[in-house]
Formats: sequence, structure tokens, C-alpha cells
Amino acid sequence: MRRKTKAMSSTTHNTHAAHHEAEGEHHYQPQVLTMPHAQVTQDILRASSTMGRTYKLALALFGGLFIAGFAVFIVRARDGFDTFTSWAYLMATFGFIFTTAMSAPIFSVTQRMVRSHWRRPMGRSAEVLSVAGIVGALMFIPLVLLLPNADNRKTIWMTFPGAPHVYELAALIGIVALGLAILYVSAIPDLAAIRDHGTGWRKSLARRLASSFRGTPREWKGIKAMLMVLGVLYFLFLIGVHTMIASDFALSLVPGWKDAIFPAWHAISGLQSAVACTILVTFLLYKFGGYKDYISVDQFWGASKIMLALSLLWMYFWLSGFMIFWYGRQPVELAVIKLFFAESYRFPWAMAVCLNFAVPFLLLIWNAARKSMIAPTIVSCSILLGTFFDRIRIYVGSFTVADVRADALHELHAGPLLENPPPHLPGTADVFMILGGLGGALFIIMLAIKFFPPISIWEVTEGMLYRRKRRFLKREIMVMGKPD
Amino acid sequence: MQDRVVLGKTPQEVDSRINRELLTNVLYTERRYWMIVGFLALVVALAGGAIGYMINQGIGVTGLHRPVFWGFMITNFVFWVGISHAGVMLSAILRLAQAEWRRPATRAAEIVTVFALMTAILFPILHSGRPWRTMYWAFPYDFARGIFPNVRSPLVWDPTAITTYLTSSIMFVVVALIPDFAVMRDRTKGVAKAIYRVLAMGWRGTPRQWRLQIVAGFLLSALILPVFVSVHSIVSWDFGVAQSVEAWHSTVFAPYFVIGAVHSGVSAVVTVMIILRWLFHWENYITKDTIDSLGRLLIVVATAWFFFFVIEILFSIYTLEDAELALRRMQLWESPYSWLFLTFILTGYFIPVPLWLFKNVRRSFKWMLITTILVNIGMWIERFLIIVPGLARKQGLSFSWSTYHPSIIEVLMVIGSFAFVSMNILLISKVVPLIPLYDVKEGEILKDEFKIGKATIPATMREE
Amino acid sequence: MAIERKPEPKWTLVVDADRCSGCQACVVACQAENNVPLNTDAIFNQKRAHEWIRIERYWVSDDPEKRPDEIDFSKVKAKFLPLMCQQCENAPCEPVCPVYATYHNDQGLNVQVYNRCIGTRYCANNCNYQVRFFNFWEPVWPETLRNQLNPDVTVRSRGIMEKCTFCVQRIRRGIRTAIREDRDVRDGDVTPACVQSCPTGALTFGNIKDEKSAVHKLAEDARHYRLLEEQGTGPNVVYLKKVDTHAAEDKGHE
Repeated sequence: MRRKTKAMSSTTHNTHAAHHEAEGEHHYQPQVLTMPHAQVTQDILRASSTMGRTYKLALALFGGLFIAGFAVFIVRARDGFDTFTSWAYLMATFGFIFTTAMSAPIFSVTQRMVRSHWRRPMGRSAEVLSVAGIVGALMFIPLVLLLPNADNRKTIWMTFPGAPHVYELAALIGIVALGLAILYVSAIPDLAAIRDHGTGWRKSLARRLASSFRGTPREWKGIKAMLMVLGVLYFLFLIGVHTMIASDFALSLVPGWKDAIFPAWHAISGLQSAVACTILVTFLLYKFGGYKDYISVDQFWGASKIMLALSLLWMYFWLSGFMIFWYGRQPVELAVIKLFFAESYRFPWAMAVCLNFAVPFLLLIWNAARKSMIAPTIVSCSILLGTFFDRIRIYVGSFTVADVRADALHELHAGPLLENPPPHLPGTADVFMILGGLGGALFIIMLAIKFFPPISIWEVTEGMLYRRKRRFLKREIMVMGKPD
Repeated sequence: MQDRVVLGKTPQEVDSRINRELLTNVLYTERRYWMIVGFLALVVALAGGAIGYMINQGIGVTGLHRPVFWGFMITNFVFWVGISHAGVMLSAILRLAQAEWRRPATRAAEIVTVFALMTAILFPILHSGRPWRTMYWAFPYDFARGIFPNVRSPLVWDPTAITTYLTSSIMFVVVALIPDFAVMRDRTKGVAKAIYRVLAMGWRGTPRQWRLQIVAGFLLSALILPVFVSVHSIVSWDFGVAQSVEAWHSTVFAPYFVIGAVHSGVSAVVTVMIILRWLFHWENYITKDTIDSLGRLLIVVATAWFFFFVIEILFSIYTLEDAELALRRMQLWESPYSWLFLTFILTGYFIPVPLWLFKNVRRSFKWMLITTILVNIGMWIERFLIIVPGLARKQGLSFSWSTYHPSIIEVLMVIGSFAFVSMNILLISKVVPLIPLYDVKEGEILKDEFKIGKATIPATMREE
Repeated sequence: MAIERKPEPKWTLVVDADRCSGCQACVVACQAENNVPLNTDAIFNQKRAHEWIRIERYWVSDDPEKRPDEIDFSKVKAKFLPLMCQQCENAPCEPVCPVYATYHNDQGLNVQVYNRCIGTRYCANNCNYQVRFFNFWEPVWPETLRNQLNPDVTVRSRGIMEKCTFCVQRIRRGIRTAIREDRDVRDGDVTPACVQSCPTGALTFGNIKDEKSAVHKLAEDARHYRLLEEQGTGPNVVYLKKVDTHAAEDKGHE
């Protein structure tokens, strides 16, 4: 399909010549894979079933941390669940793991919906992160016992019966189930590949999970429709879960803190750290996982734009809340500002601003940074660390206030928090519980990627169908098929 | 599924056909155009008379009174600032996301933005007690007695943000217009040619000029994004930072207003495009694909807006404070506000969005026109319901609670603003092609197709 | 000769809600003293009446949960709350004026600068107590009332905001007199119009920093409170709670 380039009008001819020259030597073109489809399946299955020595060591380390943390948790649980402060760091770790892990499938869902071409190797890693929600759920059950019931409290449940415990547990189980469902449905074709070409325990497990998938057009349509429906449901559910956790475990524990943007900001923060985690996982897969042929700078070029946008949104949502509180000068709101930003927890707040906003913004506005693999990865690590500090700030802050103002817990219109408690630093037990939580999450993710291929075979193969290379005005460029 | 219009067999054919079809309305005028512009000019004149009367007699001619000091005029101001957000959404964001379907819509969106902003900024000046002083006292210059404006006031941030947005939007439109001005220059004679020659700034279509044009487009798109977000956030802070109006003192106002603005703005652009398509015979350019994609974008934006709306109400009432509950009671249950609320929630979300879920509705020009007009009716009412009930039920000191009835002057001003914007869009369509010529031509060049098995898949060449 | 600056006074008004009988003499006196535009029938029906000080009247029933047809009206009481500009230390009306037409002076007063005001009415919206008034029309005084206008007070035109100033012209006169007589301002030197006209002595005015003043003692009275204190506006008006002789039965007052 060659066009007669000579007959083209001068203006438009020059547009494209100019554009290509503008790119200079670093003419960037998206990657077009050219190997046969069967090889894709082979490569990915091989990489996802080998467990090297480093992998096994890491697995052992994370497993060990989890067991140690769990043991410390049992010891502390014997003191009961009466005070908030002793569980503050566990809540912070839960908040970090859960919001990061459960926000990750949104990345896969939304990118699939807008049909971005570079998402294909990244979608599965995003979906796999939601298995860490299982560890999160384990941590959550004791935490939900801490919450007082909703009688005469300023919670979003107002006067609903059974609140908040029933709804929190239902929401948690719901979101973990939905996340696993999305992972499962999206992996069915790949599990069929394992069933047909894999070996050992993987083959038999895959046979049980994807026994009847044959790849007929009807089955493909069904999978895509199911993913769309699950995706929309997941989105709605996730927003609800963020709202619930942010309001029950933070907003309602601090007297006078009435903040409508906080749950939305919490959701954006979770999304930001989820995208960061996905980018980090993609980089690790590229470097150490043996997937070098399937991951290129395309993924980082595309995802880093989203990470930049989310970092800007993070700052914007925070500012829109802060502006209202700061300008109004109402005593209840000034007390909240002092607690979370100006006095007690200003150190984790400063870390969060630097790591979640300053570093991503200053690095990712440069095209050259976004077109590399290492810069977005550095930014991802910065965001993950920053989110961790931020969760400590929110949850340890709220939990210590809940203890200091235990009188205000069942007081619908309690007076302002007049004296901020000093920042609560982690003790040894807290550190063990943090490491245990993180270790557990990493352990289960690492196990999952050795069964569910972290690069989606069917999506990558489908992508190959929609791309062609052709010559255009002295260059080779990619042509993207847009089927609908 | 995709109706690709084949404009011609050779690139030259395509080129000349695009030029001919899109420039016809600029170079030649139909009679129905003059009738419409004439009618709009009449309405604008009537509104102008009302404004003159108000400036002459005082704000007393409106329906405002203590405690409702802001009414229709400020509602209209917020509404038009909201409409102005369409330009950046469709032009800048979709350009950065490389969505091909944006091509016919960008210029109309930017033009709507510019005129909406110009109209919006009139209202804070007109509604003030002494507009003859307001016009220059809000500037960052010590015009009177060596006193600068109070930078702590959101009413000073407002004109700053709006004039920044207006300036950058005008720059955006003008820079994107340069190649099209060159086409106009080459096809007109006499005075018009002289003017276009100045506006085209020596455009010859060389590779270097195209390179600069494309880089400028990307840079302006990226730089206008923070302005776009900040303008409506600042307008929302006119209300948000007011700690004495319980209904306004909500932290969610900034993103709520911005997403509401995108919702109402994109709907307005769809309305404008469908009307212009009818008026100027642009059937080959504003196709069913265009409105289908716009409809899908609208579903997402509308649902995001609805989420913020629910959050705003839930978080204002969950602490069960008497003043807030009284306010919501007025908004939802007391006539006429209850009827307004019902109208708003139906026309703003619950009628359009379920309809848009159906492909047949999204691909029908009639239905898209109807639903997008409904959306804007709903969004105007939404701004009204935020502003007036909030003031009518300000605090617990219920002795001052009241209500509000607009006067004919305010109604005329609102209607006049719609006529003013429409008239300006129609007038500018005589100077500037409202569908960007080179954007559409570029889209045609990048169109391709290939076969997978027996199916032929339409495709686009990606430059990156 | 070095001029010793004495600390500026901090003007405070004390309102005794127990003594207020709702007679509205203060409202009339304020209108006369401050050239407040006349409230004709037409203006009142437009709900644009100017009352720099107003008496808010609340009906208090024995049980607010009861429906109107169940209430025993013989037990319903009227409560009068004189409400004027609270001259807030942390005034929400001040930061929002785009042209600096309202600011806080060092005597604790919230000052309105008429010739700077452009009438955006944001300050009125942001006033928690709803005590700011806007001139919707050009004020008109019939021939017969022109001689009644106070020459010490500006006559405002349309399009600008106005509100209670604690009779700042009387404050200035009191201070000028004290300076001329080479003495400090004494308690009782300065009396705003409303304080002067109140028949029951419900209003007291003075410098709260002056330890010997009446307001200083009253501000620490057991019944004292300030309106909407939890909002943090820092009002300079102190209210004294109405004493309810049936407090034990009726669960108190307010």
C-alpha cells in the first residue's frame, strides 16, 4: 500500500518530513515485535517457570520476615485491642500495602479501556499485585476490631446498623475477591497455554483452572466482555473502599476533621503508588526476570506520563483541601493542619512532599527522563517510599489522636483537638510488624508471578496482530490498527 | 463500525476537497446565516439595554437582597468559566494523548473557550456595586491612592487566573491558526488578503516552519494544562474559602468544579459542533465516529463528576449538623428548589448518561444534540443550587434565612450571555475556518489499513 | 520631647440578653446617628432594610422536637438577641475584599472604607453574623430629613457596603477630647448611639484593656459567652446569657 508521495501537496508533505527530522537521531518508534507467536508463548512460559537461586533466596527472606512479624503480632495481640496506638504502625503498613496493591488492577483496567498500545506487557503485573490483598486482608481483620461502633459518631455510616465493622469486612472481602477474579479471568488464555505446553505441578493446576478454554471467537468475546464488566465494577468498588478506609480509620478518629477531598486524595495516592509499583515490577522483570525481548522503553514512556499526571493530581487534591482549611482559620481545622502538616507529623509530611511530588515532577517533566528505563524506576522507588511515609503520617497520627481524645469518639460534635500529641515513633515490635507485613506481601507476589505469567501472552500476541511496519517518506514507521 | 469517509483517490484530490468544503462558509454566506446572526444580535442588544439600566439605577433592579448577595449573575459567571474548559480538554489533552478523533473538534472547542471566557469575565464586573471602578481596581497596579489589590482575596485570584487562561487560549488558537490563515491569504483578495497576510506571519509551509508549529502545539498544550486546572479551582475557591457559608466550605470544591466544567464544556462543544455541522454542511468531517467518541468521553467525565457530587453531599451531611441539614432540606425538599434539584439531577446525569451507553444514541446527531443541551441546562441549575441555597441558609442564626427570586434584568442578562457567545462564534466563522484544515489533512495522510486474515482493519500511522 | 505611646484601647461592647426587652430604641438611635438609609415600606418588602444593629427575635418553645400543632403556646417565650458587627479579631470579611476596603485597625475595630469599596459583596457573604449591608439603591432623604443627617458621618452612595462601626466618629471625638484635655480616655467618655439610648442598660461599651472599665468586669461575668465562638472569628462583642428562672424545669436557656 504505497502512496504516491510525489503527488502530495507541499504543505502536508513537509509536515511529516519535518516531524521526522525533528526527532533527529533519537527518532523514537514504538517497538514492533516480529517473532512468531509460538515463540512468544515459549519464551514467556520458560521465564515464568524457572526459579533461580536469587529468586529462592529472596523468597526465603520475605517468608522469614513474614513469620517473624506474625510472631510479634501474636505476642502483642495478647495485650488486647483496646488502645489504638499500639496498632498504629500495623495500620500504616496495611494502608500502604492494601491501597497500593488493590489500586494496581485499575491501571490494567483503564489502559485496556482506552486501548493504549504500550500497556500490553504491563497489564498482568498490575493485576498480579492484587494478590497481596490476601496478606492485607489478614492484617485487616484485627484492625477492624479496633474500631468503635458507629453510635453517635461522626462517621459516613451515620445511623446505619452494624456499621462500620460489617461494611468494612464486606468491602474488603469484595475487593480482594474482585481483584483475584480479574487476575483469573485475564489469565485464563495463558493458563490454557500452561495447560497445553507447561510441565509439572503448573500443568495440573492450570488444567484444573482453565480446563475448557479452546480459543474460539465466542470464548474470546466472553473474556473481553467479562473483563470490561469486572473492570467497571472494580473501579466503583475501589473508590468505595478507599472512601471507607480513609474515613473510618482516619477521618472519624480525629475530632473536627471533616474533609470531603481526603478519600479522593487517598485514592489518587493509592493509584500513584500502584502505577509506581507496576513500573518497578516491569523494570525488575526486564532486568532479572528474563523478559528482555518483551519489555522496551515504550512501557516506561507511556506509564511515566501517567505517573507524572498522578503526582500532579496528588499535589492538586492535597492543595484543594489545604486551601480551604488554611484560609478559613477555623480552630478545628487549624488543629488538623497542625497535627498532620505543621507540627506533630511534619517530618513524614516533608518526606512525602519531596518523594511523592518534588522528585516525580522534577524528573518526569523531561522527555529524556521519560524515554529512559532507569529514571521512571527511580521515581517509582521514590513514590513508594514517599507513600509509605505518608501512610505512617495519616494512620499513626489518627490513631494516636484517637487515644488522646478517646472522650471525643462517641461525641458527635466534639470540640477541637487543642493540643497535638507528640509524634509516635516506632518501637522494635512495630518495626518487626512493618517488615513482616511488607515481607508477606512480597512473598505472595513473588509466588504468584511464578504461576501466572507476569507478561500476558495473549495480550502481547494480540498486540502483534495490530501492528505493522511500513515505509513512509524515507523512514520506517509503525502502523496501529484500530479495529473499533 | 467505523465509517471512514473517503474524500478522494489521490492526496491532491483530498486536499482540494477539504479546502473547498471547509472554506465555503468562510468565503460565502447563506441567507439563513444572516437571519440567525440578526436574531442573536437583537437578543444581545436587549441584554445590553438591561445592563445599561442596571448600571444606571443600581443593583436594586435585581432580585438580590440580604443574605443572598450573589445570584444569577455569579451563577452565570461560574457556568461560562465552566464551559471554557472544553477547549483545553479536547485540544490539549487529546493532542497529548494522540487521539485521532479529536481533529475536527479542536478549533471549535478553542473558539468556544475564548468567547466563553470573555463573556464570563464580564459578569463579576457587572454585578459589582460600582463597576466603573471595578474595571481597573482589580488590576495589579496601584491605580488609586497607592493601594494594590488585596492578593489574599479569591476575587483577585479570579481575574488573574481568567486573564491568564484567556491569554493562553488566544495564543493557542492563534498559533494553531497560522497555517490556516496562510490558506485564507492565498484564496482571498483585497483588504481581506492584506489582513490575512499579516495574521499568517509569512507562513510558507517549509519543513522548518512545520517543525516549529508542531513543537509550539505540543508545548502550548502541555503548558496550558496547569492553567486549565487552576482556573476553575480558583473560581471554586471563591466559594470554598468562605468559612461562614456552610454549604460552600467543602474541601472537595476544586476538583468537583473542574470536572463539572469539563462535563458541561465538552457537552457544549458537542452542541456547537452539531449545530455548525447542520449550518455549514460539514457532514464529511463531523462524522458519527466523532460524536461516538465524544459520547464515550462524556460518559467517563459525567460519572467522575457524579462521584464528586455524591461525595460533596455525603460529606456535608454526615456529621449531622443542624445548619447543614437545614440547607440540604431546602435544596432537596422545599419548592421551588426541590424542582430545580430534580431537574438538575435528571438532566445533568440520569437522562444523558444511560442514553449514552447505547451506541445508537451516541451515533445519532439528533440525540446527541438533545442530551448535551440537557446536560448544560442541568449544570447551570447545579451552579445555582450551590450558590443560592448556601447563602439562604448560611448559619444557625436562622433569623436571617431567606430565599431568592431573580428579576427580569438578571434573566435577560443570562439569556443575553448565551446569545453573545453564539453570535461571536458565528461571526468568527466568517474570519476563520472552524475546522482546522491542516489537522484534518494530517489525519487523512496518516490513515492506513491492513488485513488480518480476511478482515480489513482501519489503522493509523503513528509518529511516536 | 519623646511621645510615650500608650497601648491602644481595645473597644468592646457587652450585650446583656437578660436585660434586652426588644424595644428597638437602639435601632432607631443608630439610624439617626449614622445616616443609615431610610427603611421605607418598599425597601422592607424587598428585604433590603438596613439595620446596623438589629434585634433578632427567636421563639423558644419548651420542646423543640414537638410539631407546631402540639406545642403549648403559653409556654413559648421570646428571646431577643441584639446583633451588630462583632468587630472580629479574625474577621472572615477582611481577607476576601479584593480592594482592601475593609481592614482591622489597631483599636480592635473592623473598619469599612466607603470610598474604596466597589461592592462585590463578598464580605457580606463571608460574614458569619450577617451584619453587613449593601446599598442596592441610591439612598434618598426627603427635604425634611436632610437637616437630621449627622455631619460627622459619611453619607454613602449606592453600590457600597456599610455596617456598624461602634460609632467610630464618637470614638474619635472621645479620643480627641482626651488629648485636648491632656488626659487618658476614661471609661464612659465614649458612648455609641445604641448604648446611649438603651432604656434598660443592656448595652455597655468601653475599653476592655482598661482594668477599671465596666466592660472589663462584665466580660468575665459568669454568664458571659461570645457568639459562634467555635468558628474562631474572635468577636469583640460579649454577650451575657439570659437568666431563665425556670431553668431547672426547662433544661436551661439559649
